[in-house]
Amino acid sequence: MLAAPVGQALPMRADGSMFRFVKRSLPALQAVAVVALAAPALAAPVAPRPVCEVDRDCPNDDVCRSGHCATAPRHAAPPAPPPPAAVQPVVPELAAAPPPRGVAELPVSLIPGTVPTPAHVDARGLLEFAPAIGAFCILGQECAVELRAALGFGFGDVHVNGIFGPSGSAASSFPGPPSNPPFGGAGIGFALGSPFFQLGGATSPVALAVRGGAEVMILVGSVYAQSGDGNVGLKATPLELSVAIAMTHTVSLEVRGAFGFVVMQVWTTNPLLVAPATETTLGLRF
Amino acid sequence: MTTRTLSFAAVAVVLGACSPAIVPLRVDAFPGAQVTIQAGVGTPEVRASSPFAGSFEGTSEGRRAPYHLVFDLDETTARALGGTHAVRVTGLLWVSKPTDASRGVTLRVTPTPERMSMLLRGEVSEISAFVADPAKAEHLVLLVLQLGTH
Repeated sequence: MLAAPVGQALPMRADGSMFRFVKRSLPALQAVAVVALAAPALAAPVAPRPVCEVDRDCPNDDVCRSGHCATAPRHAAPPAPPPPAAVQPVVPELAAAPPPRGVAELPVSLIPGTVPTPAHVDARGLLEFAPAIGAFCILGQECAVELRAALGFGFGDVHVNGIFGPSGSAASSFPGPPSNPPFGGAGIGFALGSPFFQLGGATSPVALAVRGGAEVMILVGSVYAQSGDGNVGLKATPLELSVAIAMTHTVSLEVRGAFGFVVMQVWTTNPLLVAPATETTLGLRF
Repeated sequence: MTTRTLSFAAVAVVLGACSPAIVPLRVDAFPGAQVTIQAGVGTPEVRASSPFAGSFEGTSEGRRAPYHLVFDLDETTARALGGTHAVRVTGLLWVSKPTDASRGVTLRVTPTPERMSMLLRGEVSEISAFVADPAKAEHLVLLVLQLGTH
């Protein structure tokens, strides 16, 4: 067994005995190293921590903990967020603009009376009464005066008609054979379609509606019936054009033309009548 | 008795449908601006200053019959509201027939100051404010404002 005292020259052999020497001496070397490293700390005097009452008694940035200064920072607050980037207004004047003025600071301007809607009288969607007078013609046969009363709503109307045929000399003023006997009748029906659309600008008085209608009619004394007989039938007017011209805020003048056909069945032996028909009326809407 | 009651009810319904509905309304858009309610069909032009209040005629199809408004803001007013120069703001005001809950109540249309400032600065092209009743599909009052310059 090789044992070498500390400080003695180590035998240097080429056969690896040096490695074996170091290996065997490793515990002793470790003990020496530990002593060497710990010696300065053990030998150095421990600096006494200053006794304090408040943080001001401690040097530097130390804090006072339990009567002794510690090296912790004085304030343990979380780090402050980075300052926001300065926003440069695009328009320099905006930066100096005062905040918006409060509504409560200004008096309210009261508008006297009622502010009427600027819309066309027929484009408001209200119920309207629409009396009219015109002519009802079974083309090529006869014409009659028609009195019409309608209750209009947004996209149509319901109406009743009174038909008063020509008689005597009045017959000559209407188209058709002058020998037509006087006739009359009545009808009830409806029309559906578009609402009135204002034509032109916001102040334009003209409005147009395109609709279609149907009506059940009774005619008495027509050319297709003998005196006392009657015609019961249907009048269909698939195309009705109504032009309403506002006269005031609440009244308009309506010109209306309807085109269609009538289907009449005579109570007597007369044949079924199918003929084109027209209606033309002039009236008011309010 | 029943027939008479029904007749009165029918007449009341018809008269109610035929008569225009009056809606008390206050508009607080662009306070300090000079407001012009433009003339319509048979209606005169009305001038006021904002905020303004009045009785407006509501229609059952209010979307088709708006009031045309013009707000003229001088430079001082525009700056106070966040703008930079005198501007003209045009608006459309739709007033519908009132519901049972809103009848007789003064409706107040107030765009937020932030939105008005954004409109004056040109950051948005259009702002709107409205009053709604959950029981009705469309707004009771709807105000849409757009920017236009002198």
